[in-house]
Amino acid sequence: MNVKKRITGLMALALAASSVAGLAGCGNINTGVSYEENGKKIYAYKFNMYTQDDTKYPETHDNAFDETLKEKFNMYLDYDRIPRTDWETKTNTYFATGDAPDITTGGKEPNYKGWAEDGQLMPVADSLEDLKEKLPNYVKLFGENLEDVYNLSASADGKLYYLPSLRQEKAQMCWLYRQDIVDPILEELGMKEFPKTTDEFLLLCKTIKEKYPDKIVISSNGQKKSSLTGFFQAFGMPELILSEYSYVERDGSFVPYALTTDNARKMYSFLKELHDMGAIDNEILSLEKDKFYSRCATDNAVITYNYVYNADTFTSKTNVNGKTGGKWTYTSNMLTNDPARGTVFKKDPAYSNWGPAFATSCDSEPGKFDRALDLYDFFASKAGQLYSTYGIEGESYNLMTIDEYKDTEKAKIDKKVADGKTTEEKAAAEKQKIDDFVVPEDWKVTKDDFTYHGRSEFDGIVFSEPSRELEDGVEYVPVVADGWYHQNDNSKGTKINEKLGMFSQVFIKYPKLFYENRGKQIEGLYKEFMEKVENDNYYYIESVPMRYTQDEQDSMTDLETSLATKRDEYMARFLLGNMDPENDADWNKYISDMKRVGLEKFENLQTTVYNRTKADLEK
Amino acid sequence: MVKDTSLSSKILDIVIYVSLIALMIVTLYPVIYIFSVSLSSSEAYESGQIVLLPKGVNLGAYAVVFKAGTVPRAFLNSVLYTVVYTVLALLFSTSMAYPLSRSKDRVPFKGFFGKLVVLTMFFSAGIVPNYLVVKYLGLMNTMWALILPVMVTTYNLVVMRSFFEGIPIDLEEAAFIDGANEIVIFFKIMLPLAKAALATVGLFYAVYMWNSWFTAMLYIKDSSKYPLQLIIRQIIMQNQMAAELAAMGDTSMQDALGSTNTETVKYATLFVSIVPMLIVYPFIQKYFVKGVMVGSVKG
Repeated sequence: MNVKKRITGLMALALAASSVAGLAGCGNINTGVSYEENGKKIYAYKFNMYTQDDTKYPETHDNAFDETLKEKFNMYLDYDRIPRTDWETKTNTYFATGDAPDITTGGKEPNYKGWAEDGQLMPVADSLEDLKEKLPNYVKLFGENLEDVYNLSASADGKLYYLPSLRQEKAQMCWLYRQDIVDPILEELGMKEFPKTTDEFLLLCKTIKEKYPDKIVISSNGQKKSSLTGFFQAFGMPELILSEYSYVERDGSFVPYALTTDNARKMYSFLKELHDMGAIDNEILSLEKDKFYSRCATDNAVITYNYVYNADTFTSKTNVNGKTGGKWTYTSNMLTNDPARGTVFKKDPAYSNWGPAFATSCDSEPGKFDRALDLYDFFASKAGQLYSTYGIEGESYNLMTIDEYKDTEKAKIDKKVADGKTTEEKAAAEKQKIDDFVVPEDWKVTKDDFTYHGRSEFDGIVFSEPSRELEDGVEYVPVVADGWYHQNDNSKGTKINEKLGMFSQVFIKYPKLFYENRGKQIEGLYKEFMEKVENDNYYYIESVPMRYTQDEQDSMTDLETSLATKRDEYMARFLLGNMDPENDADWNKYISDMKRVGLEKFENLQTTVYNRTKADLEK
Repeated sequence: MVKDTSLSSKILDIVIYVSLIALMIVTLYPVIYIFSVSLSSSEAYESGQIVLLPKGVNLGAYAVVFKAGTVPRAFLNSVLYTVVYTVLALLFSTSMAYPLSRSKDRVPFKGFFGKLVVLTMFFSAGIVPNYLVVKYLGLMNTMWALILPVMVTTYNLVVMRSFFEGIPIDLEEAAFIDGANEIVIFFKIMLPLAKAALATVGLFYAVYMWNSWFTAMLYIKDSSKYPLQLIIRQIIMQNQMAAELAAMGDTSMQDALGSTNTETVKYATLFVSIVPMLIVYPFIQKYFVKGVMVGSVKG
């Protein structure tokens, strides 16, 4: 009797627990299932994205974007917004448990290729021609680079499983230095400009160190191991060699693992020389951004390899605690250890290897997958770019004619003069610049740009009506309205995508916004690099298309982790002077350790895949 | 008590005091440093001026932490999860530990349940099966996804069982004779006697839930339900993550972080997160030493 009572008690407890669990789960509707609303079919999608760290997202669906999406595209997105730091773990779990979201954004090409191999993603296109037919606006974004982008981003079966984004930054990284410290020393050394060879660079560092024996010369702001990328390039290797491992030399020869070659040995020796003279930061491989700012504040960073647009930030981080006069500037001069070979610089690839991908659940009902593709093709169109960047015309932004735009800019300068923020002479020069400024073609908007032109039934729809009457043939410029701001703008007022509920950008930042943020500096650097390509034997190294089969991908993943661990271990030893790359015993130990963890196997694998991909693409 | 005044004893005392003071410094310094940085200006931190005490004192970092809205809400979430979890975990652990500590004549299948419990110490299903169970029970995005799967942990259960085993059977027999049933004995006799063990195991449970972030990261979708530790992790990880992404050519996260110095904010958040445990611990410390020794010596 007692036993029966106890069992009954246990069962009651279990039942209570499941009831609690069940009740707790109520309201957690399994979304992603399409439904009818006002007699209209609404396609519902589980939408996975990572959150931008500085953005607050609407918690409900009663925002302009979600409502317009429902009205114009019959689409409902159930957002799963995941912090960037957790995105990979969480999304991998979704896919591993068969709970993949219909639309995933924020993944990188390797993620997508892996999930595609597992049969969890829909192919967006079977071939380049197929892509052109399905997403006519999207393909236009890439212009003449389209074929290369397709070849690089497609999986081993030749199909494309995600939509890469356009890379607007053509060149971003270069050497930055403290002008107030370096320029007088260059003059003293009789150098007219920042060094172009590794020998000149050594001489400069040595002289700085002699003059400022207690200071660190070369440091970096939290790029971790990629702090050394300026040195990789000096020795003819591409900037991203730490993650890409292989590259094609200027003479066309394939290098399957760059950081074990004789050239890498020369680079390590060079770094050791800098270390021995005390010029390079001992923490350069681990320094975080905030610590680098400490270096700036204490004048412990004179040269760094960095983003061109960071010069102003570093200047402000240098002039703290009442200090003045510190000034960072950039140079497009890159280093080379072999002028006859030429000088490598980093030209950014034509595409960024992230973008949206679509799970096989999108194929669960007719039309669902096509509708998602239509939405993304819309975002790639001018109308879509305007909407995703600026929001609603007449509310979050206004259209101005070219003359109105220039007048507004001039008025801003007048206001600055009135506020005492700039001198009248300087203001006059700025006004002159505006008068001479030619508004780039891709900034301009015409009446027709508000209409979406695509392959689908949505062809001809106007997603967001302009508030002002637009005249045929007149060109306008979008300008963020007073009281609103966009990502990275002056953050006063209402942030456009936070209020309206949109993704901040899809595939591309509207070119005007890009230019206003960083594009001006990036374009300037790129132009200088291109002049040096013409006149100074500069060149860049293109990424190598590598199409792995699943087995090859698995082997590579296994090998690359252990090789990278070993490589990084020795990199630190060489850099910190614990081992001497010039010493045969030390170098051979490095090579034999790398071989022990699979160097030769990795090199064979890379060579096989490279040759096969090359042959496939040549066909 | 006779005091040993020999030289060797004095030397030993000195060594012990010095070691303990060194240990105290090693333990205390990071906490003081975190507190000092959180109260200092970012310029003072960046220029490396903070060694022990705050420089350029301001409460800006705390203002950012509390103004953001995320941290106060996450703090309250953590308190709620910890309290609910600790209460339920103690209830379920003790109600299982007590029968397992009694004679098998009174508890049918005791051997089976005992072995089943121990089995879970060595074998874990892993993330995927756990995720599927939570999902199909409809617990996703609820507090119960964090609490139910870890309601009873084997280690704590064994500690409780050992404690109950140490309580003489005579007490129960006397209670039976006085007419008490099992439930009355459990709640009115056993639990009051187990205060030390309850405090110890309760602290284990509370610290576990207060510090846990992984399950919340996996199961909680709404940021308004995030516990504090998940927010802290994000704050701490974002610089590192931005650097890793930048190394692969993706600068978007670095752009989003901009040029702000997040270090003082990070430290302020860290300090806010350790305060509750600092407050709670002294009150239960008297039970802790007694409780943690449970089962170590028997007979």
